[in-house]
Amino acid sequence: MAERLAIANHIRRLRFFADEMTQQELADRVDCSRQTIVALEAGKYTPSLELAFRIALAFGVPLTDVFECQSPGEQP
Amino acid sequence: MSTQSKRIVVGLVVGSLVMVGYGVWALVGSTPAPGDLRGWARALLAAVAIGVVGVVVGQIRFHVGMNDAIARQRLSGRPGPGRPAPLEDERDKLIARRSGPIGATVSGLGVTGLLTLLALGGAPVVGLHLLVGCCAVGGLAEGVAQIVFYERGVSHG
Repeated sequence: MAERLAIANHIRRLRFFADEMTQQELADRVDCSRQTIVALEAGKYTPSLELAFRIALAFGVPLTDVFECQSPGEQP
Repeated sequence: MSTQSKRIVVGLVVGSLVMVGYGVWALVGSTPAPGDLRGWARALLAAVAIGVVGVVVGQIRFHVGMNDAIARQRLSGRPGPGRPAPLEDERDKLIARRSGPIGATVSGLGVTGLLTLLALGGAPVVGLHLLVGCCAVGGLAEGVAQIVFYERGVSHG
């Protein structure tokens, strides 16, 4: 069985560069709850592909600028 | 603890209280005779009805209290959540999907236990309580699993 990939994200940093966009503003833009954004930033939730694309669109960047796949054993 | 977890805790507390209340009544109250299945079924139905009403009232009180706290926080100008969370998004649906089988499994054990008990010649009233008890415990187990998923995290795949 393949090892599980760790998926990191840069949402907190992207919010900072988006004029310190609040979690609530991002949640409203991507149509999810603020708690889901909190869980994403804390690494407690891996989103669906659709939500991942919506987040990338909200920041106007490619998906790979928001989410990053780390090979097993690699430190974040 | 997240708002969703607190909401689930409210349901768990009310459900547990009703279960404990029924247990106390069944042990020391004026209960129907062991062979009076109709009487026991009525008592269990009443307990289920009380549980449903209790959970609904508990949820209403929780949401009223939460919205009141948010309104107070807005008026005072302090930072905070700002608005209540929407009812359900994809993370909530995923957690419900993951925790659902846990409750169903425990409830299924109750059905199997009832059939086994009856097949072995056990008392039907015991089987009735085993069935309803497993359904109730299944509901509680599902709630606990949801809290674990909310607090420890969950991912697709």
